[in-house]
Amino acid sequence: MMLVAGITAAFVCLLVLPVVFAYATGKRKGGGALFISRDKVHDPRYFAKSFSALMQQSEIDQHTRKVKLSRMEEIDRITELGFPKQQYDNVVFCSGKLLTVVPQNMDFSKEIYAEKDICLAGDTVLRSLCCRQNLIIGNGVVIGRWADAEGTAAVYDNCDLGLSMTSASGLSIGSNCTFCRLYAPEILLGWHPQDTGAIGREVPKNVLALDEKSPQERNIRYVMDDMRDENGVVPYTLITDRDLVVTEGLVVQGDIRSEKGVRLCENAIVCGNVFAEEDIVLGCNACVLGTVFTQGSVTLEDGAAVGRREKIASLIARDHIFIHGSARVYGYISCEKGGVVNVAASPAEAKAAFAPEQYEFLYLTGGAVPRLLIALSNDRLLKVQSEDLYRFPAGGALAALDPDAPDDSKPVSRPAVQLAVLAGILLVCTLGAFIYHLLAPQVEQVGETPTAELYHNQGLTQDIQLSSLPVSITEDYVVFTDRVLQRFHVSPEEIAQDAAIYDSVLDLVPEGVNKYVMLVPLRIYYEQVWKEYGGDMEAAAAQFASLMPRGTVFIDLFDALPSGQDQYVFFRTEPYWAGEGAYYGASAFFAEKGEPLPALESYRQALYQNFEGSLFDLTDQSKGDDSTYDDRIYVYTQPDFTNQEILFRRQTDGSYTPGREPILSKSRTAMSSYVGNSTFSHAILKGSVKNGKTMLLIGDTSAKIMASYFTEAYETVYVINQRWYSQDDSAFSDIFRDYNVTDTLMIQSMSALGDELNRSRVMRIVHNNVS
Amino acid sequence: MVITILKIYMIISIAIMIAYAIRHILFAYNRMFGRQRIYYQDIYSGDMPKVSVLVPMHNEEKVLHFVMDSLLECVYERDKFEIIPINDNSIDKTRELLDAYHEKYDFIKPLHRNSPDRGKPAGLNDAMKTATGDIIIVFDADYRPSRDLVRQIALAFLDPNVGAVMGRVIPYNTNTNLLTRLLNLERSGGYQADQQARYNMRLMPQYGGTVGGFRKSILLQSGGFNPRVLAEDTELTYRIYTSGWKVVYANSAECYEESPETWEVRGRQVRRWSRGHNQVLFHYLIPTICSRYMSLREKIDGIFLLFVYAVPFLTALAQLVSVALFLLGEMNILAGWWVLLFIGAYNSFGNFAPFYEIGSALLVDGTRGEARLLPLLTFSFYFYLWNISLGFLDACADALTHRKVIWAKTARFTKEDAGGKP
Repeated sequence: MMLVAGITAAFVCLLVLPVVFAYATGKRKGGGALFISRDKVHDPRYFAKSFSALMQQSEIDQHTRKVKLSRMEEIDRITELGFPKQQYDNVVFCSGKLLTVVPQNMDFSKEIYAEKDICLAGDTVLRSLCCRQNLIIGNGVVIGRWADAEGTAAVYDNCDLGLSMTSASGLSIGSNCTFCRLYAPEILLGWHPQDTGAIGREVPKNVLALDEKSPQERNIRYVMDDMRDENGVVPYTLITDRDLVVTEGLVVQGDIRSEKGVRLCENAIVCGNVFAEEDIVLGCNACVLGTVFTQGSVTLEDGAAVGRREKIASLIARDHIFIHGSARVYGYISCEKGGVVNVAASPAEAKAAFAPEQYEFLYLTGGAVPRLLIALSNDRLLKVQSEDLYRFPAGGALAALDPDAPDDSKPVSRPAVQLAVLAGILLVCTLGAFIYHLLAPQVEQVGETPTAELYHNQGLTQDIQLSSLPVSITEDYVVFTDRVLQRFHVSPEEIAQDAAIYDSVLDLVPEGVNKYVMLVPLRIYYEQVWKEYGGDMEAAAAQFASLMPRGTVFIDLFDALPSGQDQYVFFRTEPYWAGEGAYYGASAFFAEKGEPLPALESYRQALYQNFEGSLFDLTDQSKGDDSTYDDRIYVYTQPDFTNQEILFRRQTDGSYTPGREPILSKSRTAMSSYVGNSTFSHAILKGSVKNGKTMLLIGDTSAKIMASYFTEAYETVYVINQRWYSQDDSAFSDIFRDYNVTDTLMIQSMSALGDELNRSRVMRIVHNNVS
Repeated sequence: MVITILKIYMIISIAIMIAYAIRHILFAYNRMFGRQRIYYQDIYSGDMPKVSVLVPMHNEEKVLHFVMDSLLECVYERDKFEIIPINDNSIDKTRELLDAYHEKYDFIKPLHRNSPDRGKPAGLNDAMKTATGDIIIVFDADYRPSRDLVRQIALAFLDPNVGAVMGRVIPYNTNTNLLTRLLNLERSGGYQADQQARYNMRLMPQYGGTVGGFRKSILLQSGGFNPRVLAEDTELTYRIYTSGWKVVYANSAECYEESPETWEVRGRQVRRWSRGHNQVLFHYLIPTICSRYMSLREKIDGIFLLFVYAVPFLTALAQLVSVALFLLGEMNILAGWWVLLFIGAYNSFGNFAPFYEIGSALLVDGTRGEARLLPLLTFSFYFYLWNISLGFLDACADALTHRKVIWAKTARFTKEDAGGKP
């Protein structure tokens, strides 16, 4: 009975007491409405402006050396005597000098306020800095909160820029610097004022003039050439719930919005804004004229740009921002988890990355012109030189710092400045070239992943095997959820026509140059169950071989490529061989020449994930789950592979321009991961040997997948993309003269046999040459 | 047979309540511990869209200067900014006061309406025809936008997939009485937890009709607001999603509003919302399920949201059914494992589940002391149950009879001299 009474009492208490407390709380006055700061306006330079306003409004008490800021603060005023202490615990007020130079290894636990120019020589820790004119932050400076300059700000290497680094005019930031927020009308990242040359490429004026308003195109995955209009521009705003890739050199007129990630390949331009839920990558020289915003991270590769002059934009990432090389941003940068410019792998590398002999103020007038040089040597400031527009007061601004220094108070003559500038430029160029040479092969290492743990040999995840039952069998294809097998049915007449075209090209090859031909079989030939649907490819190849001109070696690949399902010889979604298949093709070529290729295991393996080829688009069937059944692109290179090509790409006006770029690059996608891009005319690969030999490789995609295997044996590999090759008169013959071509190999997939369009493309090589 | 139907209805009601309880808990958990998506407020762009701010007014002489003066202080490029106060059949001095503003500022362009089709949707439709901005931002006449608010809302439209933006509304007359304090809790939970969680989880944040904006082209291409629908904001949310656009929530775009100060006014307001919302339910349930633009998660959340003002009626009915079953001696469905569902449903939906959201919102807002008021929401639950059910029945009657909807403005409590500023 007592127990029941107790439980009842407890129940009533638990039921009633919360209500009683709530009622009592309701009777008392509450905390009021939530506060909204109605006058607050977003301003990237908010910290500096409010601090500067407080400093300007407040009078410093001369007796107590105190000033009223948010509370009474003691002030340390810096005079011409410089900094007698190494550590300052009060607000530091630098006034009355044209230039204040803060020596190395200082520690400021409160704000620094400088009325004129200021230069931090390096290795200094400070809380905040407000500069009313120009600012230099030397190597190894750590900022706790914020720094701002009314003029320009130049930040050198290995700095931590705290919460915010801003400038009202311009900002340059060197290597291995971390940041959270940056703002300036023009921000040059991975760049020093001494550096010459522009970052990236200029956006053509006709692109700048495009109207950003454009119709919407939804749910696409690759923005390719076929979306261009007659002006060579993709005239859409692109909205998709997939990963979106804008291929090389394309111009997108509108905005981009992806529910996943976005990748702009080399030289791609987006005239509007780019928004994504996952990561965004701007490849080499890619440019977004509007804002870039993501809930993931952003990577800017060398030469990438965001925004444009006179029209600020923002680069905002929920996670990280990574800058590789140099990049430009016009406006605001923000990331919640921190950003980094050219992160160094180790302290030694950080130190070696750039060790300036001198600091310069940043001076932006459309280009970088040094306004003031501050030379450093042995961790000590020696002298300051200035142009005419920058005059020191009599006695020398820095004379007090170093009594033994020579009298530099007189304005330095213009020739002396010019000489100094020239010497600086020379030094930087030499140093830059040296560093580039050292780092170039390693810079673009892409995903050397232990992929055996991720995928088995068909590029499928480990627990998924190739499906055995097709979804449909059509006249042209056998379609599965994970692959498409292309069927072969070409008549002997058509093969004879194709062979005749090849003959025409090979006739142009001079005497003494070895001639080889390969036809790559289709994947269906190697799938035993479905081989009977493939047609008689062997007979077709034999007929083709018999029609080749005398002296031409036809390399039979049917037995050279391994059969079975345990190797990734062919793509599942594309009618070409994969990197491994191309290896066996190259092995057959070198076997013919009696020069064995190294074992495949000795190659480095780079992986580009998630590639969907064109085969499914050619059928009425759709592929299974987007990412699971995607192909993976493996690129095999020898350790001494020279990661460099000169690429001749087609421009929007139909002309072709050369560009030097790495082959393995994070911004590459799809078939461009091998050599060239989707619209390249021809490419020149640098080999790793010096033997004066050149391989001329003519073909379709099979050729460019194979190209890298020849760099071990030839000094130059000249790759002609038969799809887009269109050059001036006699250009084809000139190749033999200019490059000392020793071997010519023509190669194409058997899927191209009987194709009228392909035939006309190959004929273009001959016609152009004849005309 | 009847008893079987009643039992099945009880079980379905319980299942629905549990589903909503899980939803509440998920939102609260996401707001407290989940990954928070950032809004666009940090963007600085030299290429902002042209904005037209529309302010519907009906006899607002006492308060209109608050919103007009606040808008004049807003930071936005003047050549990309216009204000269109909509004087909707006012009979006080609203017209004269707005004309005086127009004489001083040419970008204030009052629209005087004197037509029988009074109401917010009709007024907005007329104003949109004269507006020159691509983006329409709507404020009520008793609102006081902060200086940065228009910019923050407009920024979202740089994203080409955003069709509408909703800011956060904060009551300023919180301390007037117990009702306003409870409404403050509900607002906190509704915006700080519920809307933000839906934005985080890429579900369906809701456009709320004021302190928000939308693309003019979406409305004009689909014939403007429907004057027959009372909840034009909810209707716009579904129109946006089913035509392939998104709504985003801007938690930092805060604006004060006035809460109802009497239970009578609040009851009428909630009944009107319920009526309008359920009209949208009848119109958009099938389009939402069949939409080819919405993801599965958006569809699920969209369906939950559509039924929000129908569920209280179904709950009220379930309670009546439970009494009937008890009197008929058929409550043996309480035997066995179903009893767990009963207890779970009651504790979650009836009491605890909304508490999670409101409690987490108060924690995030830094007003945890107000959480002591939470038990009192148990009583307002029945107040809402009644008024929302009436609204549901109104909507059913609207659907059956196709009668004309008459707009009723929520009464204002601001005194002219006091200004109502917090």
